[in-house]
Amino acid sequence: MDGPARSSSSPLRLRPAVVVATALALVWSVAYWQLSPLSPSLIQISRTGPRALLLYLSGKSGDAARAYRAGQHGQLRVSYADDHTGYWALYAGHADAATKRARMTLALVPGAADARVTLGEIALERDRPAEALAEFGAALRRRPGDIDALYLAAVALGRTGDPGGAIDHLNRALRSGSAGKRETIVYRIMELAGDLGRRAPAERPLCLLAHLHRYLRIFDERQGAAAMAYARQAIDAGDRPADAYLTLGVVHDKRGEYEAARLAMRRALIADPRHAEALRWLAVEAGKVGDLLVQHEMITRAFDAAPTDAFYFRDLEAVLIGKLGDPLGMATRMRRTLALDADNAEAHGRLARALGALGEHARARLHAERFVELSARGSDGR
Amino acid sequence: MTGVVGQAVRRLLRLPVLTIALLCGLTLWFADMAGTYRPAHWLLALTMLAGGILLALDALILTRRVASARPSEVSGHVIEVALRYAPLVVLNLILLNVLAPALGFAAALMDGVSWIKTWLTLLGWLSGRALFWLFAIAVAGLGAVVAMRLAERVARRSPLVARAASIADRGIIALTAIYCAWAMVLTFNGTFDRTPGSERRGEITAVWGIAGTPLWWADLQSADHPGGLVRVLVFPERDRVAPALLSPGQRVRVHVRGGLFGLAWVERMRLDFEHALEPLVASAPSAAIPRRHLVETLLRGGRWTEAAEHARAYARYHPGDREFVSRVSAALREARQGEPAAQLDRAVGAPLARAQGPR
Repeated sequence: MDGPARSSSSPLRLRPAVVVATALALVWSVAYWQLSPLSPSLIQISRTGPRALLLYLSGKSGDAARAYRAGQHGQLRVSYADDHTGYWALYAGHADAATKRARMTLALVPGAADARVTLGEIALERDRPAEALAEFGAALRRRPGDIDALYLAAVALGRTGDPGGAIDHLNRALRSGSAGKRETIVYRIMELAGDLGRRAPAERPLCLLAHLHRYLRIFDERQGAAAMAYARQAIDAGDRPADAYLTLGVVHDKRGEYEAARLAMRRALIADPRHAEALRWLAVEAGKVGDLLVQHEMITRAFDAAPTDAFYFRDLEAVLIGKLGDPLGMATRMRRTLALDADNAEAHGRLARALGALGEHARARLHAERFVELSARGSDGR
Repeated sequence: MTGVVGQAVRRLLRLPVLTIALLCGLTLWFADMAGTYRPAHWLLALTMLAGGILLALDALILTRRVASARPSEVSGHVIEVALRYAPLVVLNLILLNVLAPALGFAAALMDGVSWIKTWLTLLGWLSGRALFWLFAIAVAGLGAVVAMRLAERVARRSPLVARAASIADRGIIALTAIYCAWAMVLTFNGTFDRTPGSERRGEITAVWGIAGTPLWWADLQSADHPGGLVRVLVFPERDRVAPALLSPGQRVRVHVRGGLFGLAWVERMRLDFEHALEPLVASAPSAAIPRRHLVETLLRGGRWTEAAEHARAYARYHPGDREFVSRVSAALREARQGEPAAQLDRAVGAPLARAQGPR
């Protein structure tokens, strides 16, 4: 296109076709900009999917969630053989069939936690949160780390007016890094966030709303801004400031604002020096740059804050044994846990490993056997 | 310049758009090379930033040349046809992009984790993103060309402005050529450097840069030369740390090479936690790894008595690791530290004897 010697007399003209092409490209780019941060769960291919998406994009989360949920309804194509828990029946909107399936499973295997979760979810769908809580409670007694049960119990607690309990359950689920296995969870949380957000400003549980939007951020990056806004309001209102700072810190971290995230976590510790999750987060952060002193301090403080919470044992072991070569330190702490909770299976397992590293093989074997016994007792169907 | 090469260069110079496009490419490449062999000097460390600024100015000249280009008959015809069908091309690309959510949807339908699912998700995500950037670049380019034509029209009314624009055009090209030559010097300075290099310690005083770009620097206060400032362009892959994780007050070790032409350049930078060893040992006294590192550091620093004390403490907690204690003892004797070595041997002998004695 160059070369004045061979060139035509005038430069290129801008044709109307170019203007049309530009307009088309701009329209598509704006649509892409709006929709690309959304996860496939929010771009549902169903009869009500487009309406749900429009409601969601216009900020009507509660109505959008109900429309998304309606979009999941359909014919029941999965037989009991492939749906012991009744979840797929519930997913397709056949609550009665789901109840039957879950009850049948429970009759055969009384400890089936997933079937309990389905019964709880059915109660939640029928707007009976207290009944739902009882089912989720039973599931969590069986499997304390069940992520689906934790999220759904948080929804039930939010509905029964216990924002503190809901936040505790949400934090326990969110720290796992999983959004849950059930595709219905996101809509239940969205619905709760929409309903609570519609309340009069003075009646809003600000910290709970911050946590709900933190969960929704997993599916839509822009929800992070709402989570941060609610967290800041919660801090100003004195509504569980440590948890609000935790949410603020996590969202800053996800946005790549690491310095702001560190600051928020440190403020969470000023509000509550024994906030185990903020301590663990700071330990992980220190581990990323290789600062073992801070990592050790934070993870041991996290353990001290929650000595029976098995969730922190893995990180503790990774630091004490993996990075510091301190099986004695690990064994001492696990013994402390067992003094408080003799049936803590994870503590027996970790103590067995630490004792093995110390060369105390006979004692290690005893704890390993206890670990196997307690783990079997905690799993489904035993 | 004569012969085939000379002819080719002259022909290239007659193609103003292609020339500046090539210059843009060269600037980008040399800026990247300047970042690879980053100079340790506080001002020269900004070479990559200078490359980025020159690249932006070159892009401006490219836009100006495209705006005033008079294409040849053949290429003009091709462009005219392409422009006529532009809306159809855009529409087709958009329709093809329907594939993106379809791929993403197909991936979402798949259970479990598999490489097919991962690739489908990635493809679905990438096709939309690629088209978005294609459109964004095209629209921005078109907007720039239109703006440049308007500016040219205004400039044509004032000969002074037109002359200034022409001088700026040549000045930028000359500067870019000088920059490329300088970056080439830095590249050779680093590539053919055979000097062993040295380690410098420092503390980060500031971390600054341009958000969303790899252009981030750490300003260091040198511990070896008080008052000396070292500026390091952060290279996450080589330094094993992202700029966002750096903050003022952190201590670092910088491995500096002399350079073929005597221009010192930074090979790597590491966060330094050696000063944290003693407090770490104090907070985790039974931990083996930090105490071993501490003993080694103390031996290197000639702090014999303290090294022997920590080695004794180590032996108390880890009576099975006789090899490490023997090595410390040997190192002490080699350094003519007979008394600390003897104390260590005596102290270690006792627990070992107890461990071996009757139960």
